[in-house]
Amino acid sequence: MAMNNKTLRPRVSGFNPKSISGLYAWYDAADATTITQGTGVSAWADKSGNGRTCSQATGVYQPAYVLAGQNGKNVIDFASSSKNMTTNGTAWGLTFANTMFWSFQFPDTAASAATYALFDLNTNRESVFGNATSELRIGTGLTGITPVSRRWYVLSIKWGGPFTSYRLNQSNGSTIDAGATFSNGASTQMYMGFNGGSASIRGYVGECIAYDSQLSDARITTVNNYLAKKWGATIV
Amino acid sequence: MTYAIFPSLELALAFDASVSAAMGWPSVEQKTERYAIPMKHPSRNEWSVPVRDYAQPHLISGTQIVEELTSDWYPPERTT
Repeated sequence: MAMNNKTLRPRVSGFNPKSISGLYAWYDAADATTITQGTGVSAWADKSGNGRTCSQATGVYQPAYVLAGQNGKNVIDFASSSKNMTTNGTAWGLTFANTMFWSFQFPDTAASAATYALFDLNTNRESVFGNATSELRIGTGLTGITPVSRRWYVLSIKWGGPFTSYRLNQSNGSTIDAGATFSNGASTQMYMGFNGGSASIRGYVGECIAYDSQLSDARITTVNNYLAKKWGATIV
Repeated sequence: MTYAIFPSLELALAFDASVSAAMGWPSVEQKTERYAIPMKHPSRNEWSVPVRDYAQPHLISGTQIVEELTSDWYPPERTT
């Protein structure tokens, strides 16, 4: 039976990321109470309770807040190359063994540069980004996947050293070893939508959830299902 | 990205200050400190400030406006 374009169905209703221990940060654009606006989004509050607010104090770099941008939910639009937010001034001290989830729209590669960056932890560390042919990279490890332009994705990454595994819309990717380590160097910031150089996501971000440990496969499935249903991601 | 080009850092800072004042920044409520940080343009040795649609045209009259579709902004705190 063909499995294409089937909406992921969660097995758990009413899931709350706080129900899994070790929640480190949680950014949810659908929750308008977490958003502060200047001309764009100047602050995106952390719902984990840990106070790791993402902010952008310079107006010209503030991303836009788009109402009902995806599946009826509000999103943050990092549309142009300079839009970004950081956990500036707030410690981001995750070690290499952690799990991150991103719900985002892959950039329009036809209208912008092929390279893109979803987030970064320090200059040129480029934690999740695409190379010149838009191939998804995690750390410096290549995944062999070129996501579809303007499609909504749920990406989960179980960071390890040296073995990192990921899923894109719940489909298991290959385990990556070379280069796919979680490296934050001396950085105490997380840069969202930008790598500090020439790459930015140039698309929507809906939600980001981070845990301070490697979650079990079952829990990763639970969080992925929660995000997939909420944001309307589909199996490809 | 659209940039306004200025012959000196002082003029670029004055542009930032004008737009910031028009927007009511700095603003604790909006969590916004300023409009933009002047930069040396990536491919020009001139001071520039990105231009957004809310920067009123009269504030940038008399300056050179350039459209750069592929150049990216490098914040001064991140140099690579």
